[in-house]
Amino acid sequence: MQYVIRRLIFLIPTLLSMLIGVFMLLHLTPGDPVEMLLDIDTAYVPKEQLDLIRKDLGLDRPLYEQFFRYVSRVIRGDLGTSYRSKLPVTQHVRSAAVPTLHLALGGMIIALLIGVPAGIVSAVKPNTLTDYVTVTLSMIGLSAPTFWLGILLIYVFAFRLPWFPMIGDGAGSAISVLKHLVLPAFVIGVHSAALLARLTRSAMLEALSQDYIRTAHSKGLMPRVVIIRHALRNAAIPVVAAAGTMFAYSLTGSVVVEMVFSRRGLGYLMVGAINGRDFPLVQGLILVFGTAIVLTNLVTDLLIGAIDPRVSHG
Amino acid sequence: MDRAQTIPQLRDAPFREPPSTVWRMRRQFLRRLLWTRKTGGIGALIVLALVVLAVAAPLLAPYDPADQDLTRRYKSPSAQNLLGTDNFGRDMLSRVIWGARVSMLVGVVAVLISLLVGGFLGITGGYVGGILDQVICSFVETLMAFPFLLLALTIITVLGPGLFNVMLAIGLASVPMFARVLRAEVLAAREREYVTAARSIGASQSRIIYRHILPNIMASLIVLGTTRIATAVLTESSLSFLGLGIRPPTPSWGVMVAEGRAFLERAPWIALVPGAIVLVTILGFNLFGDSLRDALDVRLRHVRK
Repeated sequence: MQYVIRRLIFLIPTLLSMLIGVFMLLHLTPGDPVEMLLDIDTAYVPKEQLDLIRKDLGLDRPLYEQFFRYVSRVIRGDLGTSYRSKLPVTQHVRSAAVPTLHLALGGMIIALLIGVPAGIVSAVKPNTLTDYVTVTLSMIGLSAPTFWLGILLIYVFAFRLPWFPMIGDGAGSAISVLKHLVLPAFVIGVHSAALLARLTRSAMLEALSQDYIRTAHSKGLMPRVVIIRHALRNAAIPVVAAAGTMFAYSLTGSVVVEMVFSRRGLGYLMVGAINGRDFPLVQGLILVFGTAIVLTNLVTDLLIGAIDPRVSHG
Repeated sequence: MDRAQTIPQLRDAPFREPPSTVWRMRRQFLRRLLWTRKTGGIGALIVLALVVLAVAAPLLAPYDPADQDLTRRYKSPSAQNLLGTDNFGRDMLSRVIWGARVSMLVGVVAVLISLLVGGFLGITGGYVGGILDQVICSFVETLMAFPFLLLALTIITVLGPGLFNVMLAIGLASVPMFARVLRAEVLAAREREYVTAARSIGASQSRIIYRHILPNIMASLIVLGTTRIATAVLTESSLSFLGLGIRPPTPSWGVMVAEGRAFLERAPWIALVPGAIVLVTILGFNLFGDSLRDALDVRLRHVRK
């Protein structure tokens, strides 16, 4: 418990530096925020009016004061207003979060379902054909660019074989949502699956070479029991550690995958916001992504402690 | 009296292996790199092919990559256009070959940027230590918590799209990684006897760093650089695909996939071929990098004994 509290306190400097970075983003970017907000050439607007807007936005205050205002707004859950839609950023985030969460979770499930068994199989039978095929496939999976894999799957499974819908995130029924999720989740899961397969393989190889495995075998236990109960449990720690990081990467990987499949999630929103130079929205999204990743890392660490009693959080 | 005159052999005549031994070691190294694990040889071939394509693109490309021929649009692969033509009737093969030049340029320049900035931070932190090291470390650790693509996207938001900005964004996003690896390497090298020896004969700090530490951490630098080129190429093509990287008509593989996407049903090769080339490129650099790591590690262990 003490450890949890300490970890939570350690979050503060990380989150603070993230806030500074995101805040500076707007001030490092060339261009006048007022001009971007109005979306017109400010040369035709009287200077008094511009100053009024600037004052209204607090842009005439010193930088540190602007920063404190920004932080206090963010803490109260106000991420600002989008330049383009004039809607609160939180509203955008809330509606886009669901497709992205579906995608990230779906990707994780696929990665675990493919990656872990593949790693176990190739570790149990090292240097066989199965092992070579797994290792080769995981190497290719690690190298395949997400955007290309997505388009390839659309071509094969939506054009050639009309099994799945091409694009969109599906609305209404759960079945439609699920159908729209299969291809993108697979695309986002492949990279993690490949990484997991490699990790599981090496962790299992390591675990299988330990003395207690020989003891378990000599006790006459079934090979399946030895592999699952003795080896896998000990191989699980590095795998769980990596799975946490993978979830974080799946979240940002959604940027590319959502563009390929036109899913209106956080990544789709982000690309549109960067292209439209909609800075409050970009800032808000980076904060959301960043916080999600920092929290995922925290949960992973705590999870490892729960699985492995040897890890002491003292 | 000048130091060099008292102990000249320490300054001017470093110990060298006899030439025959050096050649044998080089042969053994190459054998391990390219032959012992066949994948290393495959990776090396792919990397070599890409470098040749990038350097000799004007000589190898059968057509001008920007030459439009509206009478020959969406032609499927044939003897005249080995990889077909795109929606403007441009030759896909020529565009893919010129794309290699763009990708290799981005990969190499981005890695050089991160090597310079990250190397400077890491070596300074690792060698000088103290508060400076702590500041650099916490900065690096904070940035390392975020996925690479998110960092690159954030920097691109500030810089805007374009070839140079993409190289800069990818290079800067890699800085934390380079700083961390180099710092660890310098920390390890700093405690070695040869550094103590160099210091005891009065070598200056910069001389110790450049002549003693740097050559000894070169192996890890090369391995890191090779694998990071793969990441840089992948990130460039992803950013360009999103419309946030290199802009058309520059033949970047990512741009080509994005452009070809609209014609997936009519001419699937426009999008699928450049993407497959990206895969082969990444695969090549990854395989070569892995094999390089194994081969160099073996040699390092050998020397340590």
